[in-house]
Amino acid sequence: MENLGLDVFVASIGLKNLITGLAALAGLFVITTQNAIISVFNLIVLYILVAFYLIYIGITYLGISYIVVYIGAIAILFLFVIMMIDIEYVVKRSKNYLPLLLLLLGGFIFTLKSIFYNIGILKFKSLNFKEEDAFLVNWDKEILFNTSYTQTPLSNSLSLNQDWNSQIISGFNFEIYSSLQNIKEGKLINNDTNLIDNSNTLPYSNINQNLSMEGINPFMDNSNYLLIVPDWDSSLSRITQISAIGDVLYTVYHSYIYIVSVILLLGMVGAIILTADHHQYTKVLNIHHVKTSNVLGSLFILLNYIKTTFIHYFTCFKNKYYNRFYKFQFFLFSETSISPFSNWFSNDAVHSEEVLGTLVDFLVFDLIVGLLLLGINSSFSLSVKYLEKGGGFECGFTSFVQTRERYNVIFYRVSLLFLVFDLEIILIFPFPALYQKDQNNSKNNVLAFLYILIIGLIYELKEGALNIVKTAHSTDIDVKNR
Amino acid sequence: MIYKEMVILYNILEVLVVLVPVLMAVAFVTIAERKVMAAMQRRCGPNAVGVWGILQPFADALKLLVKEIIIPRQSNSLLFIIGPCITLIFALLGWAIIPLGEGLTIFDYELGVFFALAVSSIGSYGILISGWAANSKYAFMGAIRSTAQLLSYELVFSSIILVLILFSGSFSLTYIVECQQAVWNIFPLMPIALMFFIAILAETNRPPFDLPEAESELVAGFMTEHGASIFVFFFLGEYSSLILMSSFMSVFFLGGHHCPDLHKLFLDPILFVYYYLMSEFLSFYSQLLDFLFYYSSIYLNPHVIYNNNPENFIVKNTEMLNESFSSFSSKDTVFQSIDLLIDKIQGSYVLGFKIIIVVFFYIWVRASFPRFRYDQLMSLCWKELLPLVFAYILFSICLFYTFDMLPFGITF
Repeated sequence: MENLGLDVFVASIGLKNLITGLAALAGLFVITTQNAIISVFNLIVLYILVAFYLIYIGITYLGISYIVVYIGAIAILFLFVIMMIDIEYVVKRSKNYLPLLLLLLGGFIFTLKSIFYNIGILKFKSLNFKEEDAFLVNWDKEILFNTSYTQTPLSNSLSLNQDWNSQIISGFNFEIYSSLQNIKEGKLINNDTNLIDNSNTLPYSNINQNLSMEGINPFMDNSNYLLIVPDWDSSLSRITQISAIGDVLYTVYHSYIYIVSVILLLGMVGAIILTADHHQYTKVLNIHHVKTSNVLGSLFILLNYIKTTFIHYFTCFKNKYYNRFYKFQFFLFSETSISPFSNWFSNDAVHSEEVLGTLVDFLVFDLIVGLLLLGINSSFSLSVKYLEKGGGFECGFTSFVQTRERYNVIFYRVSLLFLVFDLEIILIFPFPALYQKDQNNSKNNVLAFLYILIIGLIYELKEGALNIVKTAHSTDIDVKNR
Repeated sequence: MIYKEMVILYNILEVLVVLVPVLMAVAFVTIAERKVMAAMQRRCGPNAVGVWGILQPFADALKLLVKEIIIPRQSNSLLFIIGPCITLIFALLGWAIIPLGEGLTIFDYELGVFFALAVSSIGSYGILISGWAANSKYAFMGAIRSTAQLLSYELVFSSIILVLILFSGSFSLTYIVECQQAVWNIFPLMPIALMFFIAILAETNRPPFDLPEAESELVAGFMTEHGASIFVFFFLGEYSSLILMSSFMSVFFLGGHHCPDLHKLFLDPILFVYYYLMSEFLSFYSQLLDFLFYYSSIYLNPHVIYNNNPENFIVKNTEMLNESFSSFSSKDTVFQSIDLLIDKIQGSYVLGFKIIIVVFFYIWVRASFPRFRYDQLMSLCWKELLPLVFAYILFSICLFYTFDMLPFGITF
């Protein structure tokens, strides 16, 4: 009963569950608040909490890219749309949205089930793994953790009954890593005689023997014994998530990156067309009236063709390998350590704590500075209040009209295009982090991805989508209609 | 338990050690800006407070802190205060990942570049929120303009970083700095560096891209309604992000804390003289010792002498002596130890000097270029810089592939 502070509270609940609970609260507020802007801010808080959750469970790269994409691009787009709404008017007319909330909760009951499973409220019965499933899990593990999958993973090079360890060990890097794992655990490694028992299946001793045969001591010079400091040299062969994802994305799942590029291209074209002046593009949008000489129309037909072919391909792929993909996702986001190799993400987990720690430190400092400044200011300043002082900065009058008016469509277009390009750059970022030798294939994939998007860029430049025209501020909709 | 608290205290102290000088630097950057602008426009500048007016920013800050906090009636008062706070927080948060010297980082993060991108993408919310919350026409227009500008130039910023990552093969700033030991990135990536400078000018809302704060059109842009300490948040946030961006410039392109051959240019002559004298002395001393050994050995056990020629013996003996002295007298080790020491000391100073140079460029640009029009600003980003950077990405991937230079397999 000594400590009943916040940290004990947090420890008893668990930071993870605290984050999830806060995220659920923020989600509730998104639906129930009447002011649209405040609800968008709640949405941003929700995004931040989800990103924190991802960072906390060790998925740092996805967490940070979540911040970059969702908060940096999507939420700003929402704000751009909502900011011009006359809020007092909306608040007067708005209803209680609790029934909608309940409906949505009913709709997402299955996701809720998984959330409860994660928290630990519900405990599922043991999943009855078939042989097929076991194979699939192994395959996905191999994709994430090993570099030896480059020989046609779809063509079933693995057999079902093969031992998981013995498959993985074929990679050289894993050997280094396994010895490093021993180092982390604090075992002593002797160069002359291997003190570590050979009953373990992992051939951690092989690397020592091999390297000492070559006359190289991988760890230290002129020392028989190595007293191990954890994490001193783990950078030797650390496959982080970004390189694992890049490996998957630019080699095995390259079809997905093509699909993504086409979707992004369509998004870019659609954003430009939707926000353009109507009289200029109505003909183009009607696909039957498209002339063959029209560049845009031919582009559309081409895109439709590509889209249908990809959708066909995708559905085939989905039917065939749905379980695999699902399992892959499951493994990527699951926090339970299924594998004996959960320590693979240990470095990321360490960094996740560090990320949150630095964030907290800086926030504390900024809080101190801000409170100090505000306190000094409020205590030393005079305050004489009268009516005119509280008014906004206008030309001598109090303002007659709402300030939150509609504004130029160019800003929406900018934010939409920014979203597309931001996603694209986030998807290219794993490319330099690849950890494999199949350079040609991955280079071709990334170049194809870039070329398809550069078509969109050229289209945008040709259309003059970002030309700021004075008359673009539309006045055709009557203000009274609101 | 005490240990845990000590760790927490240490972490906060670490943050203080970095951020308090940053906030002080903001003050000196403002006075430097005013002085340099004055010198470029042939006038005096502030010279009343303190020696050469050096205490002017502190007087200004004091004035701002004694003013009344006015929150307009029509505004959303909570968001009105939170907006500037967000600007300040996310301008200071970027300092966590800057390698301030050799092995001097608060948070040596392997995805440091992503951290910077995330921080800068959240930072734009401060302007948007405060501009919206003020509920004034000027503030609203300024906020919308500024956000669109920040979005567009963040795209250029992140794609330039992509080129850098392709070049160096790592996401951590420490690694990017260490890649520049041989040559700074500004030499192979000159056009990219210029574009980066333009992008950071626009990211910090500085002239000639200070559209949201254009006095003639929008009174003060998104900060029209803000005064007193809430304005101080904006002020600190803007100028600290200026310094942060110039430190990014110096880390990415100007070699960070590396300073190639400065000590070899200026300190080597001195060290050479020192070493020469030392070696002369040592050789004399060793020869003396040799003679002593020789004659003493003859005296003690003459049958041991394996060579009748005393000179040979002396030569061998001097070699041995030199080896024994080599731990502290050899040329290489002396140079290495002094180099290491100088590197450790000079790293942070070199980085500071580079940051000062970039900040001076900021001020120089402000003094010499007229303001852009808004459509010119957007077309510069979307029609000129972005296609160029994308072309550079394609070019660099192809180039690195042909010369087998792609940074595959590099772990960070």
